[in-house]
Amino acid sequence: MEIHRFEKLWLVAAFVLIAAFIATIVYGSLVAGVSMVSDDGGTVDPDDITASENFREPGVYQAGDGEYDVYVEARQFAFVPGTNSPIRVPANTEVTFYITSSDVTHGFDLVGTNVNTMVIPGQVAQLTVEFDETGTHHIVCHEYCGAAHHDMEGTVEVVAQENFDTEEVTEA
Amino acid sequence: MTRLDETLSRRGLMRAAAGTATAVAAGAAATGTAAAQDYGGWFTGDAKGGDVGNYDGTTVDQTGQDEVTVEVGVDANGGTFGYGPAAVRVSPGTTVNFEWVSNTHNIVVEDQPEGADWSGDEEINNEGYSYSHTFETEGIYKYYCQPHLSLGMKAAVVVGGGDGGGGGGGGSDQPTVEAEYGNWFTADADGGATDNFDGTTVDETGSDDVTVEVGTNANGGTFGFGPAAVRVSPGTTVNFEWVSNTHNVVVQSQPEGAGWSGSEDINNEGYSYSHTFETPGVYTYYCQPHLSVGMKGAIVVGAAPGGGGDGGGPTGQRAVPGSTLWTSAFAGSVLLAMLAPIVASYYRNRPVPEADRLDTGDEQQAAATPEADPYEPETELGHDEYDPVGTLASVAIYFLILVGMWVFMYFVEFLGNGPTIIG
Repeated sequence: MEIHRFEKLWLVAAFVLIAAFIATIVYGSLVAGVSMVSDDGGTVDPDDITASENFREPGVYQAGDGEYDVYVEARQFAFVPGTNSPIRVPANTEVTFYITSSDVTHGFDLVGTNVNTMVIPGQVAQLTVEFDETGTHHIVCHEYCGAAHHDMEGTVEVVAQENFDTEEVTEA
Repeated sequence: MTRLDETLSRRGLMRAAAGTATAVAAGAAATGTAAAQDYGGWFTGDAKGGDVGNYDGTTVDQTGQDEVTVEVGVDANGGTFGYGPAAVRVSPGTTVNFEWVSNTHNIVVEDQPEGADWSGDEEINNEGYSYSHTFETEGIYKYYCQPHLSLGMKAAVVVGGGDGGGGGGGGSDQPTVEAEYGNWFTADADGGATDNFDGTTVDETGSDDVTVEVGTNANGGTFGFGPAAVRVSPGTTVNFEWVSNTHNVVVQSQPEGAGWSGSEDINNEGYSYSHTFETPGVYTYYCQPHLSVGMKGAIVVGAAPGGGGDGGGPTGQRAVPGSTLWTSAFAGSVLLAMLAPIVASYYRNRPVPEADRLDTGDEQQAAATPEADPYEPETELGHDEYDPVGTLASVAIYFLILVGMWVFMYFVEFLGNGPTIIG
């Protein structure tokens, strides 16, 4: 079968593009260190989220040197902590969020960033984030969860390490 | 009528305690507070948050108690999003126990009298939790639940004042009755919503003769009682006057011991009927033929709580003016739009009149559309000579656009959109 030389040209180009797309994903995962929300968090009893080892009393905990764990409970229509009191974490540390719901499916999205997960009752969403800059991030629920879904929001405050009050956390 | 009995017995006790307190003193005491407590729009959607569905214009009077309970998270506002009661009046020094009966609620203080230092309980708590505060400073305390503010989970505590001795209006001996109709004027009760009830109760206390018109213009026709809700003093004769045809007065509910039987015969314009109301309480009634369109009414016998003055005030029920007109206009437009294709197809396929057909002869038609001549190609290209350079250029441009979008999407939009999940 004879293929016109122009046709060969754009066939090759199309394959190169597909290869480049795949290479990009590999680059993002291996070099840039982007990862997905995994099921490492395990499951909890939604009626009593702190009953098992997988989840602790909602709050900020120090997990090690430069490592913090944040346990967040999402419920109608608030993030605990987050809505009533902001989640305060230090910059340039590894912050791991453990998020679960005690009633219905919620969402947890730091507006304008890639930090974004679904929050399912009984399932702990685990995700690690490193905040490079200080500032305030807003949390919104992006899964319709009831009459006041539009009102369900919270705040993450990233403060400089020297300003971070270690009194605010519980030692692991 | 448990509420009424409570009111009466408490008032009886208070009268006994007050002993020979004069009517003048009682009147002076009542001046301090308005009849229907004014919360400055706090319970409406005009203030921050939503409209408070479980506030019906009444302030529950708990003065004289040492401890008062307010439930947090009662069934209201489309879920478990209410304080019960939404408005309560207590005496200075009263301890109010807030008891959580459902989950995820708190108490955030919106407003309080000068000098008061109530800080609320801003931590979100669940069923079983309770919190109490002793209110010393007189005035109005407004508070809300932060997670459910937008749904109307708002409430108020009034400290001091109230009916501390004065019934007002007709004097200190009159029992007070709250203008509470439940959902009588809404479509949730029997029949339709009553459009001519705007939440206010017309105050006719003190008059000996009160007229209620039967069949006024309302509810999409001559289907209203005018006024829909009226407050009269005990012993008042209410004249029902028919101003249009085919109406009657059927009693829906009345206080225990009252023997009102209404006027169930259906009558026409010009007819009238009167009844003297003696037993204090709330009477509700309707017109049987027009119940479904909302021809409902109420009569409150007795003085308003906390003094004479006006009636029960807004009850959180709202009328929807002109809704019938808009509904029919909308339905008409939809029908018209659906019929349009049928009308159009009939118009296009209609037979051509004989006269028009004769004008165009067969010869003329053939001349108007000549066949095109078959063309022979001027030159013929072989496979190798064929160079679609234009197509190649188009493909190259599309390719560049695709690469540009890919770079922008991944490297700028995604990777540049930190912070990112890294583990």
